[in-house]
Amino acid sequence: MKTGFLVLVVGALSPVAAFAQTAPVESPAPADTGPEEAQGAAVPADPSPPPQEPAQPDVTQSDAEAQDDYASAATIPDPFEPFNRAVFGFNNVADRYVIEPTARGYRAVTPRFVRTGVNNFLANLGEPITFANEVLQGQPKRAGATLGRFVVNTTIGVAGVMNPAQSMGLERREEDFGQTLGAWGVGSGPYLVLPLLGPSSLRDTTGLVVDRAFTPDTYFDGEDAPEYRIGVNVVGAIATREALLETVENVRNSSADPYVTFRSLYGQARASAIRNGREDVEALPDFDGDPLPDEGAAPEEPAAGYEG
Amino acid sequence: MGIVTKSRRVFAAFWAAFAMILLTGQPARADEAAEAYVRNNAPAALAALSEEGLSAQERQAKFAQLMERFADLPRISEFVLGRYATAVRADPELRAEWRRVFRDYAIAVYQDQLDQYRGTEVRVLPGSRDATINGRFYSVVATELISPGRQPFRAEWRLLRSRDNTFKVVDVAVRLNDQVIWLATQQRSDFLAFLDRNRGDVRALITNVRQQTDSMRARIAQREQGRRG
Repeated sequence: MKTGFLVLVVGALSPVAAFAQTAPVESPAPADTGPEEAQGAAVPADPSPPPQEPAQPDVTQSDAEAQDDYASAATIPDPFEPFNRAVFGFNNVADRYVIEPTARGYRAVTPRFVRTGVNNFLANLGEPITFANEVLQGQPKRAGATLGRFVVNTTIGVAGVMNPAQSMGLERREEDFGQTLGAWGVGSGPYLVLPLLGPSSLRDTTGLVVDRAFTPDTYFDGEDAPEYRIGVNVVGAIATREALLETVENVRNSSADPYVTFRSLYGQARASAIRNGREDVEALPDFDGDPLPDEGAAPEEPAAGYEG
Repeated sequence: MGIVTKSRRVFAAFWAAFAMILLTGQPARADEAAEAYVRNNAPAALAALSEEGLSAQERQAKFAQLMERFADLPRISEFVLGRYATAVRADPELRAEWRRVFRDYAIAVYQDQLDQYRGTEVRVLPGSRDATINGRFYSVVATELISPGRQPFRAEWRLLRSRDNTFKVVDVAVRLNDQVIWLATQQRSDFLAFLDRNRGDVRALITNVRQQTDSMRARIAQREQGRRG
């Protein structure tokens, strides 16, 4: 599974925490904190659906506002929330008792350069998926760069353990079939939390299955092929979780309801990935509120150091 | 031929820029002013976190002061409530209380998390982008944040600009490759989900946010104590 999303998502839960992360790679996603980790008593810890009562009477809401708020509160529809919360809780337990302790052990016994090499190796294995999807999205330039990066890193970079392509300006990107479907105009479909793999959607889960076809090791047919595949996935899971140790800790400390946070972050991250990170500044939300200085109120003091 | 064409374009661009300066008398473009604003203010907050000789209270007060100057916290505090902001605006007492609670929360979140990024250099990338939405002027300024031993990281600052060219930050995006998360937008999603589950009860949200703030402050204090000890 492509997990660059997860690195960003977990990092973004704590503002600016994502600085720290190098992009780890293809692997099952770690489970996250469960609602029982929430700090504060007002968020129910059980996975039951939210109450259906209407908002307080003094809260007026037009259809347009409701639509706007729906879009931001759940950028992705979640009709299976009770089921998803149950899976989320399972992932959290698996993380607490198996995945996180293993990742801490991995960090303890390996020097940083070894972990970087492992991350590079795993990222390189994902390049054929990116290449195939860039072709399917009609992006020959990006596909060419991905092919170049794969060739350079596989050869000069010793089977992908090093990343010399980076210094040649061939920046690593990740594309998957879920993004390809999105680029073709397919909507996300319902939100899904997959066991051990984490946040997804119907569209992106379909993409995961298709991406297997673009993964070279799917076609390895040696005696050791099954062990190799299992090994790559297990190492990938541990390496990804290791890279997320601090940021997951930050989530546990700062998010009142990680389930909700992950769901909306997933929506934002996938929408921007489908746009290849292009941001339409005209489409960003408006911040209304008190009048600005030029809207009739007294001018504010500019901040210190301002050089207009 | 290609070189000649390119040279012509360069000259044309130069003369166009020169003519603009003559006509407007304003060599600094608006987006350059936005970039300068970020360049001058963003590193100050990080510097306050690592400044030697401050007590924990002094550090918190200094960081809070810088944050309040740099970001439009009252405006953000209402944005993150989405449609529930209507109820808060209608009740001046509740509005004032929510602003205080959100301000403390936002400052604690950033002080807690940015602590890991002491010594980070903020490099402003040229080419900010402007947009006018409902008569308000916004600029998005991209920066690269460079910490020793870490991969450079890109953050984008969304500024609300008045016509008198004062700025305030209203949102920050973190970007990794092609994935972008706007933090105020994300915060709004979380708060809205909470309010929906609690029948729009802003006072319940205030209680919850206060608890989170207290917890973060305790962690910050513990860390400070550990450093001194």
